[in-house]
Amino acid sequence: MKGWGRWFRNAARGLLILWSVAALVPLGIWSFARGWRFPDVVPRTLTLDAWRFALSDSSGVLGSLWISIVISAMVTALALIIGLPAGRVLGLYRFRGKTMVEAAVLAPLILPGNVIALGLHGVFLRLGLTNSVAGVVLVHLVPTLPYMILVMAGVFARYDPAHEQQARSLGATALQTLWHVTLPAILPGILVGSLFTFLISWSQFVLTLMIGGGRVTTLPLLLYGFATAGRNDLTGAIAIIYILPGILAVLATVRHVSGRSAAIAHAGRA
Amino acid sequence: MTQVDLFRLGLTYPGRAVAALEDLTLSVKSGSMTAILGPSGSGKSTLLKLIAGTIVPDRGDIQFDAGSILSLQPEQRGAVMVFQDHLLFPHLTVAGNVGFGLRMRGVARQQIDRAVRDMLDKVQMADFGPRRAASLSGGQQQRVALVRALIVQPKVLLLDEPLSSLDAYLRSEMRDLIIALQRETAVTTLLVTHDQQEAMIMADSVALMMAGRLVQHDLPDVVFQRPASIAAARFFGARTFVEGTVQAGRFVSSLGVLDLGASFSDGPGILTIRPEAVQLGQDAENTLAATLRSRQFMGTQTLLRLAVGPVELEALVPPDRAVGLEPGCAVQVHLPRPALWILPKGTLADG
Repeated sequence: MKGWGRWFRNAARGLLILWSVAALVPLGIWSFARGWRFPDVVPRTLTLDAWRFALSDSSGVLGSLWISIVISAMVTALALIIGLPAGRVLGLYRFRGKTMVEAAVLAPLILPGNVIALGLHGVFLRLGLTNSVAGVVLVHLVPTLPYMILVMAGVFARYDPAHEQQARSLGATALQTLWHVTLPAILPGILVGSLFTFLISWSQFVLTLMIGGGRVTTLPLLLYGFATAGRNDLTGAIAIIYILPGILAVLATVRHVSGRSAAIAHAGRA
Repeated sequence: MTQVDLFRLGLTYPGRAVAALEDLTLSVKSGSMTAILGPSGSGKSTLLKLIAGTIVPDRGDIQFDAGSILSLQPEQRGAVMVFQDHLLFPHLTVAGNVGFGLRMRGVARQQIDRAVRDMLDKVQMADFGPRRAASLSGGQQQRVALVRALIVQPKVLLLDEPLSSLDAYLRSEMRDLIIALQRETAVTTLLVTHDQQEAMIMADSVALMMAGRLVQHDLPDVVFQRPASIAAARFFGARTFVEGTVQAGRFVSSLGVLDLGASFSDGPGILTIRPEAVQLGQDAENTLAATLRSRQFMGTQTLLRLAVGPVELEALVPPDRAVGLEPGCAVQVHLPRPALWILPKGTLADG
């Protein structure tokens, strides 16, 4: 039984890696290929043309990359500013109507994105927020904030605020307490919540398209343009550029995140 | 050395009908160790939090050396709290925890290191500086929490049930350590506890709290032997209460006429006696004929329930004295005069 269990786990792990890498292989080949058509198994010639064009000013890739980074970073910062206190209240305190508040927090996850976008479009139009980066940032908060709040609520549910009272009584000001006691305690949650938020914002398409009105061309919008134009080589190159920040973000935080998941796995085993 | 005065403190938590603290006035002598003793829910911990500044009273004033501290932030008061569950900062080392208060005050690094070493030395934990707080045992954590508080030389040390989370065998050791450190630093200390023995052993004076009110504040032996109310007497283990009248140094009641040792003012009153003060056998004074109702072996003592006329009397006697006594048999007991205590009449309803 034990041998089978290990075999099964390894097989599952292998499949999982294959699953995430498999999609990248054709993209990688495409980005270096010229005239790769059926029935060729490999492209006839390899070239850096697609990459050269993608990284040039005329393609607009670098501009889109920058806009995407700015938008996702701003969404993450805003989600933290709102999600941290909200998660603290939900995680630490019991109050009347808490279930209702939790349901309201989760509601955007149940509604499809384009329904939300249709509804918000009219509101944003009136507020003059359409076709602007600010509007896109705000609308990205809709699908991201629930995750941020839920992660922070989970962190605070296991947090003892008496540590803050202890710090104050030892002579720390409110600000020192936040910096030296509260933040270190909830840092893993901040990283996980920020990672979720950044990646969800990074992959938004419909919301960006409808509120940004096509004027705010984030990387997924640009990618879609090239993909529908049939430029497989450019699509491959841009797709790899598009995936990169997500991988970097995961790698940068994996130490803290895996610490948490190790703890969860441990608790699960116990 | 700081004198602490609480004036008519009152607090009602939002949404609660009953006040957590009511009209509480208490004076704590500079450099003393005062136990705040009481059953759980009596408002002891609320009192500490008010002094620490975690919560703000609805009414009344708190003064350190005759100056109000109510408008001060917790970190400005110089009242350091040591919590029951130690609350070491998990992301810091032992040395980081002990030096925390000095670091927040901007003390130079070398000075902090030296002070931390001295402090850890005092509690025989000199080698523990680099260890993670979470790797320590409960007793070690409590010692670190204690020196972390003392290193900032607080005006007032607030100890919230410092022994209750420790195993029994560690308790007396920690108790002696706290007493020694308090004597050495002479820091005015308030010790919250529900354990009467702990309060008697550790404190210079005991403040008994019940239902948010101060019942009695006096020397430990006075609070123990001369309770102010039936509730206080019950808290310290008395079970026998008899209504009667004091007449010229005698107490007349359904127990008959008893000689009182001390002088009580004439008039109605309630007599109480601690069960371990009730003696088996005959004596020149206050000897009563009783019937044994039941006998309960309790280890170091045996509990006898006796009936004297209509009155039930409890007695705790050495187990060997109770050998051969069966329920229903007649025994003689006597009540030594110094052990008799008269509560002012009118408190029977509160009990």
